[in-house]
Amino acid sequence: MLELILPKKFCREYVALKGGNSQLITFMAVVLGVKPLMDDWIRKDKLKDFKKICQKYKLCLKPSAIFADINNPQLEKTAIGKEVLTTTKTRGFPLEVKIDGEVHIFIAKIKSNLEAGFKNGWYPLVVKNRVINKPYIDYIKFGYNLGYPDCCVKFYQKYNDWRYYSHLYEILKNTKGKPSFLANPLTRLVSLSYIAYLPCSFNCSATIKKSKKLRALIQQKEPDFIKNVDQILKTPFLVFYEDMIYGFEGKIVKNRLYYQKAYFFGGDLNKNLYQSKLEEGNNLFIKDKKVFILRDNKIQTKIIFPKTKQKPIVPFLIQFQ
Amino acid sequence: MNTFIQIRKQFKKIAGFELKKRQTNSLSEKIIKKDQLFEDLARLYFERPKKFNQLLTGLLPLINQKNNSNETLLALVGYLYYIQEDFQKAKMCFLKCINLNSQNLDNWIDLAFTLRHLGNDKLANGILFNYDYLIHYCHFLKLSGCSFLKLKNLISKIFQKSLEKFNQNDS
Repeated sequence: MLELILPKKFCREYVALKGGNSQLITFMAVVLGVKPLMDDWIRKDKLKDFKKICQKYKLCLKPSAIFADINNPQLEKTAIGKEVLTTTKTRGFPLEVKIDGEVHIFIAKIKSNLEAGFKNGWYPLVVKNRVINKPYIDYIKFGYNLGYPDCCVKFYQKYNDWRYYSHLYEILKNTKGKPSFLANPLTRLVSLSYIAYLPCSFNCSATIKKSKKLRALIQQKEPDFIKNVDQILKTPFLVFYEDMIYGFEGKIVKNRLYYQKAYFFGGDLNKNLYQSKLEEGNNLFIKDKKVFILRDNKIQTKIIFPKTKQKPIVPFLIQFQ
Repeated sequence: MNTFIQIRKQFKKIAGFELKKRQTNSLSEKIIKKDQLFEDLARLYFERPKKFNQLLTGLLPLINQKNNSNETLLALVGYLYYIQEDFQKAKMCFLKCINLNSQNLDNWIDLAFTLRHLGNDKLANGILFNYDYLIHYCHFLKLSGCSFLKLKNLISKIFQKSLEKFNQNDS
């Protein structure tokens, strides 16, 4: 299921340069004018070639800083303010420094969008062992710069605090009606989603409208690619939290998931803690926040989530239509 | 002093939370940001825009920005301008804060992001990547009360030197 899904031609250079499909659909959205801005990371030695790709697709680009020493576990232990670091933990250096690393860049079709996004788009970086973080207001405005709907920015503002909320579970609670695959963010860490953000609900109408437009435009150029992405978006998912998500070949019937195979959708494979447990069974259900894994109606094992800093963690099953 | 007490009272009445005296975030304290006022005001701006506007109309006129030597009030005004996207005025406030207290990291970071919004990326980066040198040099050179031009030169020189040093070590 998770073999590399690639377009035949459109934005294929982007994949080749980055050596994978990371942020591919987001890049397509900017090229097609559906998304006003994106930020990305390009290896410093490939920046020149990347500029050529941007020229080809009539995009403008602005570099911000160099990321080096990315995801060094030491940063998480010693940096002052480490608790505000996001998934990418990195030291930051000015562009003029001769150091190998990834250049944080902003990409847009329209110059004014690029400038506005750049100003709000500082990434939390470790500089001299201290996290340099932008003002909170810039975070919120950056959400708008990236083209996220107002309802989703406001929802994010309220619930994106892991100390008090499980953001994905809050989205589920806010979903009235059937979840739409066009508002499925669960595959975004493997770059197979039409959205690059967490929506306010799994059937947010503003999100669906944008995704629909993007999907239709990509479909004109790459119908097979879209077919594959759609298929993945519609598989059943077991969700623990943002970077601990499993997708399945199977189906959900009356709150029980029957499956043949489980795939990790969390992005960072080091966090794939339950693959082997899931492989012990062929169906599962959730009761009292515990995941019971069965094979032919006999309980094989269960997943009881250990208490961590992240609370509360509420596992749930979902399938998008 | 009386005015400060009055403003704090008025602030609490409108915002619903206290305007705390700005504390120095010195490098030795190992905190990335000490003053939570900026974030609280931003939340107020999004969640209770009417209250935020009341702060602008009811509080700003009470604060004498020209001859003010109260770091708390200058930072407050700077934040109000920043949120409103009047970055030029915000810059003036944060510069005054640095002149009053150059040992406060929060003042430097606030100025740096304001400069980034004004399109002065180089100067902003000069601060963001060399905040420690700037704090030390301002103390060493006793640069309190200096002009923006003088400060700008210092930031540029330190930035240049640090780049040279880094690139020299690397090669």
